[in-house]
Amino acid sequence: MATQLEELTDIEEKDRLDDLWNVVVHDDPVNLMSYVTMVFRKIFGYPLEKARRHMIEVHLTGRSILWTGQREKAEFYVQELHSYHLLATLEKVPRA
Amino acid sequence: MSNSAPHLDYKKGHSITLKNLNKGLVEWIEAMIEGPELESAEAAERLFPSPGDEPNAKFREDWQELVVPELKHRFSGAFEKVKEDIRKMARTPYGAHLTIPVAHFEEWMSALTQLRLAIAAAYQLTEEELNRDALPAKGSEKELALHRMEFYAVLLSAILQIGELEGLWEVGDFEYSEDQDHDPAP
Repeated sequence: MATQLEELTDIEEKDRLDDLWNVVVHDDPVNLMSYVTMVFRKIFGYPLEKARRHMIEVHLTGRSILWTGQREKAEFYVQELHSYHLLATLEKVPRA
Repeated sequence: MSNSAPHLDYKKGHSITLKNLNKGLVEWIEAMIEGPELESAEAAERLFPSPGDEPNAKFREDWQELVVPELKHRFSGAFEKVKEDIRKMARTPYGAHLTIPVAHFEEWMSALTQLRLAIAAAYQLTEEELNRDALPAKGSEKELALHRMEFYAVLLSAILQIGELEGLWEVGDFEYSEDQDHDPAP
């Protein structure tokens, strides 16, 4: 019985680890465009053009998915974005 | 010609100096030390936003207990360096000169951004007001707050551009207009 439970836990753990999370940045009317671009480059290491495209997407559509991956790293990125005063959230990627 | 108008001196690898700040501008710089707007509930809500609609209560608690104090520590640390520079302002009969070392650019960027967000939140400035599509009533507290925010934005832009010259980061030579074509982000 204990073995079955352990197996079940292992499967759940694997499922949990397989979940992907989006790091989403939301628009705010205060932060400067050049500042936001600089932050995207600094945190994610994106090339200038890619950082700008994300910044413009935030500006025009209200949000942009900056990164997708494992939960722990996504949490780290959200914290970093908050440390630069950007509005960022974690969102679970819906399962297909 | 006049050399007494406010202007910016740049010493490569060392600092920028805002020269001949008048008393009004000095007051706005000194207001950064006090920063009463930073204490408002509205500012706290904006500076420490939720990390998302997380159903996991434990995660929300951990964020409040671990992440928010860490952010507060970083934010107040930035202000300490800024206050140090403000206290060293060289006074003149008409105002002051303010020197910002390149080594403090990150801290100034953080402090200026915190203040701009806090002012916008505290005075409930709307997107239209911030974009100058609609302006607050002349002479109102809101109008003064908007002017202050714009002064801090100019200073922030100067730090961003000179930081790029210093190789601290890259923002590029970039002017955005609503009409220009753009590619969606991948």
